[in-house]
Amino acid sequence: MSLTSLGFFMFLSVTFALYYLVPRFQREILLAGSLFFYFSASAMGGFSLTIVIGYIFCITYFGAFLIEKYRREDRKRNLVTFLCVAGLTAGLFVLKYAFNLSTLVLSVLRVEQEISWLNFVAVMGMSYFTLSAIGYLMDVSWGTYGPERNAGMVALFLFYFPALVSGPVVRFGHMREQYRERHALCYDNVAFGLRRMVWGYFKKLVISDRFGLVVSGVYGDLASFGGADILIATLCYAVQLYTDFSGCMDIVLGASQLFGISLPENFNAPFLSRTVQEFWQRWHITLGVWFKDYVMYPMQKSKHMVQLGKRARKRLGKKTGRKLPFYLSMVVLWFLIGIWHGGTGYYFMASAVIPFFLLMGGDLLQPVFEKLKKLLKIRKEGWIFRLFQRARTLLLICVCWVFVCAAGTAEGFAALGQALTHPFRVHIGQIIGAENLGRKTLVIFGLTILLGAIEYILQERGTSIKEFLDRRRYGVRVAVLYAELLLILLVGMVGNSAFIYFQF
Amino acid sequence: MDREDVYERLNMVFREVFDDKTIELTDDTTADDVDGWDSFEHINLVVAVEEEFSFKIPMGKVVTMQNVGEMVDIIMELGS
Repeated sequence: MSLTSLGFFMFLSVTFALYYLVPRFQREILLAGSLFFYFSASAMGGFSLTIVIGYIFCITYFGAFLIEKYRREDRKRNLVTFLCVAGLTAGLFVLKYAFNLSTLVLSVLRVEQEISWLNFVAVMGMSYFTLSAIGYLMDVSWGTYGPERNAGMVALFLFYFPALVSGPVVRFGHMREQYRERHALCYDNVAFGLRRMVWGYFKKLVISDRFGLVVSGVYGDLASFGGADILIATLCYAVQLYTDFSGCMDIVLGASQLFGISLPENFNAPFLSRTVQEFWQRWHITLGVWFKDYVMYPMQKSKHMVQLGKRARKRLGKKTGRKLPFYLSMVVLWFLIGIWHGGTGYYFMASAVIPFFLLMGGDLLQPVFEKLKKLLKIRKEGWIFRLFQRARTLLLICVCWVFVCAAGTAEGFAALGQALTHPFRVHIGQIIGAENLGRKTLVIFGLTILLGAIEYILQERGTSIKEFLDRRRYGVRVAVLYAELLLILLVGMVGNSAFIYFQF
Repeated sequence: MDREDVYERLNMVFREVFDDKTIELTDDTTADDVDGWDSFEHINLVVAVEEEFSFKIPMGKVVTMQNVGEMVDIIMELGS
């Protein structure tokens, strides 16, 4: 059952009706609905899926009580927490990453070995709810809150259907009260939820999939295209990926709002970021915050890292010395993020190696950039410089995505080389011809660029299209909603839509 | 240790960590108000605060504190 299928709408309608018709059992209805959705949508067989669900649930639910049992004994509590987290991570590692990582290691070592037995059927959403489960156990271990006694609450937290397939990564502290309280049918929730869902479908079906045509057209036959074509195709991928993933988030956040439950936002206008660091704080926010809170901070604050920092400050000076623990934790952080994205070579390049070097480079060269700005008398807050910074950030992020588009490390380097050696070679006609992009598609490209420009101007004024529309009269909002629906029905690429982030 | 003492010592820690002698903290000061207080420097700050007040701030508090006011509350709670 995909989010764009008729089956999903029927499922959502029935769950919605039952949820408000039998308010006494809202939590139970959501849990039953979530499990039904999971079993219907998952490629894994029912028996295997039951074992996976049971395994994750048991470690999370009972592990939290075991951790709490040793509240006053730090060593035992830390050991139990470690074992629980290791148990959850091991499940994820074996089912999701072992095959890709083994393939990567074998290819680096140039060893030929048959490992197809490691290639298990993908467990939908496992990398998202495992992170949520680990976060819950860590919070209990840190004493942020106690273990939840109600098993249904924990199960719903782990397998709540809107957040199940591709996040956002949820925190128990954020969801607990929302699951606990009873929700009355509220016009605002339903109106907001439906509007947001339609906006998400519009982004996915009207915009994302059409930009994807350019990407597959160019990257499917790289030898025939020039450097400028590769740049155009990679920029198209940026639009495709953003509207795909953020569209998916609009759909799931909107669907959740129908039940009166707010999920955390995953995007904050990432393409308006002025630095690469800022980009990663605005893109896939819940994943970034999770890794920051549960990996980077605990590592940086560990006894060994603090001591290392002190020694480094003595030897290398205050400024450089304090950076050392930070850089070390960043290596681990980006390595784990690389694994999280699947552990294939090119995803490692795109989501770990290059972002790490971009961030480190930016940090190390910061004093040079500051001097340059002074030397050139650049007005840091001028609109031209802001535009330059945003364009530069986008291009640097596109360097990462070249590897994803090319679907291979060597292919990615080849594409980058081609882009740099023939930067002005462009074949617009050939791009249009490659996938038979008709007038309809070109109009949608123009509409998207217009929407992007409007959003940019509004963001510069401290608002956004969404906020702008929220302030309009009811009639205007309804007209926009109908226009979106009409475009989805007329030009939406319905029927062939898989969301990119489902694979993670 | 009263709130004023905590602020006085905390001001010194912030000025040292962020190399800015003009920092004056209030309850509502957040990371947005202090140049250089980003997620990368947050732990350096926490470690410096721990050294100044000679106790450990639990990780649960480190990741949830929203502003300086909350940081002061935590320090007073742990120091009492």
